[in-house]
Amino acid sequence: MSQNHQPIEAVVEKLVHEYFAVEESLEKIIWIKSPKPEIRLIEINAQTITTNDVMSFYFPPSDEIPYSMKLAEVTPAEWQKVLQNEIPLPVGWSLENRQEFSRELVAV
Amino acid sequence: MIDLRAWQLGFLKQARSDWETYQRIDDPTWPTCHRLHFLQMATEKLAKALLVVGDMPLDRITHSHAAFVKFMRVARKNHTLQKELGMTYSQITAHFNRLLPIAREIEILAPTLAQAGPNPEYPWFDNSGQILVPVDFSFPLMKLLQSPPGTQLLRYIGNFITDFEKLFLRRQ
Repeated sequence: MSQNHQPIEAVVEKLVHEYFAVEESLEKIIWIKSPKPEIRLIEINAQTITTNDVMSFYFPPSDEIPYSMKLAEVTPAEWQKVLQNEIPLPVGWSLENRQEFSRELVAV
Repeated sequence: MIDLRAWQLGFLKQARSDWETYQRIDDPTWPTCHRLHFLQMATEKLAKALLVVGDMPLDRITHSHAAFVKFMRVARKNHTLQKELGMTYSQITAHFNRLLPIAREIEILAPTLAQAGPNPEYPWFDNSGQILVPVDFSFPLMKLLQSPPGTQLLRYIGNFITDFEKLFLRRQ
């Protein structure tokens, strides 16, 4: 069991800043809030390949990130399909409790 | 109730077997198509071993063949991997970006992604309407795999499969 001393909001914010700083083609990051102590992020990136799936990969907690992470990357067109329910979200994920981060709103 | 951990171990075990077979036949005396076929399968199952515990529906995982490139793109964000390679996120991103085109070439070996073109399993028509057979075909990817980024990518694939528990399961 990980020791989550850092609030999840602070960890997400840190990740979001890091990702926007490095990935120039990253347009938006969607934080899908979970009842579990885990971080679910969907990154909208024009440079990724199209698979017509929200492929969320699991990574366990580490010293730097004390939460398990489930990360997915989709193209802007795939994200539109997600919003229109044409591409399903991973099991148990919901758009209802989400927070969106755009490059313009995040000071890099 | 689906036991996702058991599925993860199943994908991992098969990835390891595919990779071991690839290594055993990675010899010029074997047809290139068979070597590439096992390489493609090993990478696909490696990626799926992390997808299956990432909440993606199992039926969509088993029906998709395009998982390796997205795995390589997302794996850069794994802090355990960054630490293991001694790279920052910025460094590992730049580094992996050089490997992604070759990863994509491996991924699209899967017949469903090959778009009726070169693949290591089934014959296909070339532009002149001639039937080409995998066992007779000289895959350009083989030369890419022998280039410095290709060699590096193969080393990473081997490390990811061999050290999967350390990199992707246990907390460091």
